[in-house]
Amino acid sequence: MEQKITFYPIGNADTTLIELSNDQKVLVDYADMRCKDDPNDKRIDLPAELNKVVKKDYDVVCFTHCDNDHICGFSDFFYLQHATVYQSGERKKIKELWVPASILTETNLTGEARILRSEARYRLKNKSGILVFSRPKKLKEWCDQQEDICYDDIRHLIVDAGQLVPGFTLAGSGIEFFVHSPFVSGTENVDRNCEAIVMQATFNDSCKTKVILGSDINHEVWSDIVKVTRHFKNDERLAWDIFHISHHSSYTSLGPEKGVNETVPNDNVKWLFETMGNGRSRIVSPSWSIPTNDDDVQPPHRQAAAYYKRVANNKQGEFRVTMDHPTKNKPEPLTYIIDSYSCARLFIKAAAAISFPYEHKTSRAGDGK
Amino acid sequence: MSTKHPGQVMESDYYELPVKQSLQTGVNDLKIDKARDFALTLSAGTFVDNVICYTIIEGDNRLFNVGDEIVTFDIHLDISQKVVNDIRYTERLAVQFPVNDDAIPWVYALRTSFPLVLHRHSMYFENPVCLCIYEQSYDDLKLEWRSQKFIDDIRSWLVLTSQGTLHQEDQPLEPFLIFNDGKIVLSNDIENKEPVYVYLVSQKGSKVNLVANHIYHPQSEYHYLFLKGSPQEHGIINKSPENLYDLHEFLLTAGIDLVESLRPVITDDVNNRLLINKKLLLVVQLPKIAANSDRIEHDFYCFLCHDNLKTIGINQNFISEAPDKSLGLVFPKVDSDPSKAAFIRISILSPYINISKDLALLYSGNKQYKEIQQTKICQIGTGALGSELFMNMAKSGLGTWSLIDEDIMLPHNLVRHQLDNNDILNSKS
Repeated sequence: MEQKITFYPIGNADTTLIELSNDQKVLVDYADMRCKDDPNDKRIDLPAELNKVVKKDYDVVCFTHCDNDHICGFSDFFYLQHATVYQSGERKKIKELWVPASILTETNLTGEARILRSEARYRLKNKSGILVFSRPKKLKEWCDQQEDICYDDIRHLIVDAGQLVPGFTLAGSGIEFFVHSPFVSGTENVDRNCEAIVMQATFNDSCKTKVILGSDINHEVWSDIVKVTRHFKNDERLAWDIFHISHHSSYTSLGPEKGVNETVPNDNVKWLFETMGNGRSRIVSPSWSIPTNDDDVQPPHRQAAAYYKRVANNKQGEFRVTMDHPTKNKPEPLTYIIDSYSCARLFIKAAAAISFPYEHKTSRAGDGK
Repeated sequence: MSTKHPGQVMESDYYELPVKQSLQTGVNDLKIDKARDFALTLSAGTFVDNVICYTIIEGDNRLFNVGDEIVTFDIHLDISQKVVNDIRYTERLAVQFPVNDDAIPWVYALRTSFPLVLHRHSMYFENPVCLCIYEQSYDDLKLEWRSQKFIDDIRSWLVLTSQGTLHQEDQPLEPFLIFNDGKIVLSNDIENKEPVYVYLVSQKGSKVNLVANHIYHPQSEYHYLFLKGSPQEHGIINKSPENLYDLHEFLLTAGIDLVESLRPVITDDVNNRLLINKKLLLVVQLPKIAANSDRIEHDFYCFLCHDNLKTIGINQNFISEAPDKSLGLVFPKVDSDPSKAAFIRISILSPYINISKDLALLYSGNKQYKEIQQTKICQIGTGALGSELFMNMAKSGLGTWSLIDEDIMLPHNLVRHQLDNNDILNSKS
């Protein structure tokens, strides 16, 4: 039995597809970043690539937050319930939409983010096809202002940090999602609602392969996550075999300073990477190729990448950049196959460019005469 | 300034090939067609990085010769997180293409911590490890050689090894020694029957071809010694032994004290001039236990010493020459020194087991007829057709035969009959 997790090469943007063995499809973020008119744009044609794999609807689409590099072009691809204008053609339906609570309450949104907010609000009013992550005070306030939403009626659609997402179990679907963020700090009563959805997915293979989906959060939020998770003795929920790192190899997700050659992570992030990473684990940077200089202030930062590479090497694992996989010239989706017996392995497409076909024989004898 | 972090992969984490001097060349400047095509295929493909090519300009005149070309590269592999053998997601390999294309391109894993897994070639150097990608002879492989297939096969070697599934039931457990020094045919009951006569069939340069069996042979110039080791789980031979001392060291692991085994052979027969001037032929059986299984394999190794027993005896202080050299030899009571045996060079011969009825049945593809192997068959008439039938059946290991024919071989029968001129005027049956 095999499950798959695929990261798409779309520059500094996130799209992750999880294909479960029961044929369910979970998509985390959707950002079609490619300029169709630019022949030199090496970013992948995301809708085309997704349609190769997902023929029917998506069981879950999770938007970790509503920045452009996580939602770009989603309203052209998905069938949206709230307006007929988004229902034409071959659009893919979303059975369940996962969004952070902030999307519902935020004001001054424009463009795609505004469309996403409308869709989320519509689904919430219908009390179906949506899960909202975290329950900031603002959410209740917003509900109270609405005539057609009663906060008490939608409580069951809210998922808090520190919980498993309902509807997915290891035994049933073969995967479970543990929510780390966004969370509301109970003691300080501080809203962290501006933060994105961060989850740990655990597969039911023999290694219990764990994938952390880091979205775009910074090192301070990571610190909070580590502290809270350790406080509740849920350390295992921060263990990882595959780490989809936060914010496209930005140093800000590791520590306060970029560093000269290597970013020094804060103590909690250091613990997360160096202690909680399993042997032969993988780090995936959803980003452009790592630059060799510091000319660009935007991520990826070579210093952060240097740290990730070192962590991966120490664990005899690997660090892969989506836009470099398998080559810089022609990036392709980066897929890990999660085999129920031997755990995660990189998917390598058979060499299609063979100039001369040959009869394939087993290289070593032992073909049992 | 590069500081090494613990565990970080640095250049020093990789071995270099034991090549005295080499020159880096561009892919398109490679002279050997196979090497160039291989390097181009690598460069054009995905999941391969850092393709670098070299030409040897000063070799060691053994395996590495001037003009040999080497391609090194990093190959990315679809290896699982959970592995049996520590093969990494990315491995650095070197492939050496012999200048005359007279041997299979050698594949080396350069990582210093590469595990000592099965299916390696045993070289005269221990590092780097040389992978045994193919069992077939290069002559067979040449016919359908393709660079892409070679890359795929290397990849598949590494992936299967990582899962511990490369080894198949019918394959030997020891790393393959490179048998370059000749061949020997052993009779199939050689391990438990004496005497054994060994004689030379042909010799070409330093390569010798020998036969060992129980039939008396007047020109037997070799003394045969059979040794059997205790069963081992792991291969003990990681490098081809070059001299008697190397071999002694290896065999100690298998519970054989080679030097002490030689002492009685040499001292007991000290006055037997016939024996003492013979060269030593060692046949060593190393039973191996396959990991996670009760299966025991019996691998044979044959080593031929370049010196005769007398020289070995003197070398090891078992005997000494009489002062006048022409007379007998005397025994000094001095301990032997195995390390001195490093002066005695040995050759490695590929052993072949002589044919038997069972093997004939197997090789002829008639295993399914096992039950009629011993069937008594009486054939009447062994003429042109009858002799063909009988000979083919018998060669395939089938039947116990009684032949009836009153005719005798005459010259004109030679045209069609299986018998040849040696049998003229003998009975056809």
